[in-house]
Amino acid sequence: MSPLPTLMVVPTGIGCVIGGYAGDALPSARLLAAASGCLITHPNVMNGASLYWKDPRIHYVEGYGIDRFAAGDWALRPVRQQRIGLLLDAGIEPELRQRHLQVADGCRATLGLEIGPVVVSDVPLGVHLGLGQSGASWGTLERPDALLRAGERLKAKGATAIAVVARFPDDQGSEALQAYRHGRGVDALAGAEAVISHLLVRHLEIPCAHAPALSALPLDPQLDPRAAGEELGYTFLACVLVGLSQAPELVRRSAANIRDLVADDLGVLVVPEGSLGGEAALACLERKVPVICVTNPSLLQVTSTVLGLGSEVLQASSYAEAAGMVLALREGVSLSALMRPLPALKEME
Amino acid sequence: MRLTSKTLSLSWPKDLKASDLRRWVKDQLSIHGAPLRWAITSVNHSAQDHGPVLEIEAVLIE
Repeated sequence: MSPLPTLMVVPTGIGCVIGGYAGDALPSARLLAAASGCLITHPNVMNGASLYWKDPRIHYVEGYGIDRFAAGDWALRPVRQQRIGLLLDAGIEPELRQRHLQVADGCRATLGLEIGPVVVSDVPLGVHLGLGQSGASWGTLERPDALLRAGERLKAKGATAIAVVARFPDDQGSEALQAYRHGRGVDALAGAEAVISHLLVRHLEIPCAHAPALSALPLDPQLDPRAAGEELGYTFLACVLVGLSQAPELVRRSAANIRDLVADDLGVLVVPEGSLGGEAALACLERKVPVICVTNPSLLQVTSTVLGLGSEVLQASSYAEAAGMVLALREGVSLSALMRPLPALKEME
Repeated sequence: MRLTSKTLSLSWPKDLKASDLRRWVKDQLSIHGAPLRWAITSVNHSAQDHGPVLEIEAVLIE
């Protein structure tokens, strides 16, 4: 049975009950990968700080790359190994910087990843966090120029992918952080993280992903299991290095070859039901890729109903149901044959 | 180079299908800068006489 390339998107920083925390959509991604045989998804789905999962059927593509892929601008080329350059924000304190270097060394020694060179930005990047009117987390950088200069140096020195670590403002004691740790609200860091990685991918056209540098938090006995992955160590870097280690190369569509994954290969998009307003989802609608909307509540309500869409969008009440639908599409089983009632055929008038 | 966050409210043209929204929204954003990250974050159907209004949150490169 040939794979059915499936795109799974869980937008970052909108408080999805599945995928709004520390890589807690990863079990759903594993299931969809098994059902489809080929899953393309992004770091927000796969990154659990110290926790990660490797599956050769899962392609780890940063969000800007996902958008370009879905729009048909870029193709994905599988690779055996990436050489990961490590980009560290000059705003990271020496001890915290050392922690990150030790994680990278650990991933080299224990997992056999190819990591280096390491570059520190020439000035602090100046991350600012913010919330949009919708409540979704967003953010900006004071010095995007310094980020891009450091990325250019890494690429020039042979890096084929970049793990970037920026110093994020410590928010200890805030209501937003407490709510997040207790399984409510949005990940306040996620929006700024996405901006950083989007900017690098857009500029360098190589795989990049971000880990925030933060001071360790005090123990919280009420910690929600979905946030626990981020409290196991001193950094959020290990999952990023593992994800990037075999992330597909990003290739312009005009340079793609027959073995590359292109948007025309996409068999289905799986997306939270209120998140149809993102670029990748809209690109799939544009290209008439079948869409499965999964019940996965978040801040957003950009549903198939408000967009005036009809039967071209399938509804699933869970990722388990969505995986069943993906498997049916892959096997060529009509979804209507799996539902009841099954109306009799009628001749066209 | 400068990054800016913007929220735009745009009336959804009556003759534009949902499947054509991506290109149209990008064109609208491009008036303000190069779109880096954006999404339609709500669709307000309350002003029926003027058609639905799209709320778009974006980070732009200026």
